[in-house]
Amino acid sequence: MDPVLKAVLLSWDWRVDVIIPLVLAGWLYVTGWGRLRKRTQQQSRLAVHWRLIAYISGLFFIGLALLSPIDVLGGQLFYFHMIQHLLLIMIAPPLLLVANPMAFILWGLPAGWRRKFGRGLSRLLHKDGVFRSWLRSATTMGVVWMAWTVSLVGWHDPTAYNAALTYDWLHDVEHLSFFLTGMLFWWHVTGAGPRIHKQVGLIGRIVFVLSAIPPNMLLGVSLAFASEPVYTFYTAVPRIGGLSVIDDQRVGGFIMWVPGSMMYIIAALVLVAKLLQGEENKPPLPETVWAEDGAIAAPGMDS
Amino acid sequence: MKRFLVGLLVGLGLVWGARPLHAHGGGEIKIAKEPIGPYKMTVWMNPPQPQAGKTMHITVGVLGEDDAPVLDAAVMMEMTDLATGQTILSRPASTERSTNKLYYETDFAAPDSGSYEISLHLTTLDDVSGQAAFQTEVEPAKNNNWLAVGLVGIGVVLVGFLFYANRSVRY
Repeated sequence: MDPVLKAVLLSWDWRVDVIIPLVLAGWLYVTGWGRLRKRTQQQSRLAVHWRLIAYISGLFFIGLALLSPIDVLGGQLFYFHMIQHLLLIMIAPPLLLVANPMAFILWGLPAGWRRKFGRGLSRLLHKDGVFRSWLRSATTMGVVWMAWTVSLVGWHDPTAYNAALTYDWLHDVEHLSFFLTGMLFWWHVTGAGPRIHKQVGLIGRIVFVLSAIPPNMLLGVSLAFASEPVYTFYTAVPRIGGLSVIDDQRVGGFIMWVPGSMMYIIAALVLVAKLLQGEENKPPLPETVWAEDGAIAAPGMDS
Repeated sequence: MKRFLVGLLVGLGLVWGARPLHAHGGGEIKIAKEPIGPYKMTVWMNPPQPQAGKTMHITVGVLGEDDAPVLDAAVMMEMTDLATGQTILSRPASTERSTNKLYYETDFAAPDSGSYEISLHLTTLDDVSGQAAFQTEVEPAKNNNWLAVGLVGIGVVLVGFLFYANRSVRY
């Protein structure tokens, strides 16, 4: 095997501070899923296999983003860093949230803890509670979109980006802010619990998900077509596979622009399909409404 | 559940204990593409503001033709106290010690605060040798353990939450 390729494939960072939360989150969910499934004698629409697979896949992609060569080589290849960001912003969060994790994680706790935590959460999120009211206004669709955009654009500012590659703790803050704003963004799209906001209709959610494309695309396009390297950190590192700094930046910008935007389009299409399915499931109009003389003479015109 | 949690924590503790053997890499660029014969050397130091007695990592990238990574060179790090002119540390940097296997890394701790010169000696398979150096200030050790602060913070929030959960409230 080519020694450079071998070195790339062996570059894993086994971070215990990442592994512990991932293992705990996975273990709590799997235990809770098993308990709920057993309790509902496998008839539940809640504890279904696809949710379990989605959740575990979400955790897997976080692990891949933070432990694998994708993370380790992010300081050497810009496009690896962009793949990492896509995983943290737009792959892992929707997978975790469609699995509706809160209920399963609570059920994954021992009975005593579950009661205590459940009671605490229901008090904290009580409809008359101050915290719920604060949380609801701090996480409206508009606020979340703004936070998501500021996080995405702000961290790609050359000074912030180079600083994140220099200071490990800042790099962790960057990833945490991407993941958290991603979770808040997809919380509105998926409608996962806890549901504290007024439920937005499917059309509203489609518009919201599509609203993520312009900032993402503008950033990707501006990087893909920049004539000079934007991030100076990469100019001093060994190049892998003969890819120059500027070509690496173009590939990274393209990844952000095309596959990045595509994820939101796919999510919008899923919501459109759901919308159409809802229309299909509506009961047909009674014959007395559509078969009257006027309606047949001029269909679509109200008499 | 308790057995699982204890097993998990012990296992991860062992992983954690083994971890300092591998330097993490990254940090501030101290030397950028310094030519040594036909090769170039880039050096990072992490953390950018080292403290006496605390681990610091030196990461070295060796660039060959077309800036491709060179993986079969020998890199030796030396730390010289600028006040006395004496070399106080000398150790190899290697790809085995690094997280990013395309870089050479070594980790060590400066015994005291003060001004130091860190020099990196490169010898390649085709007998090219040379060195690059930079100076750095090592600050006195500060006892702010952010990990402990973070864990205590999480503990306080958890205890507060459980207290809140169990208090009697009438709606």
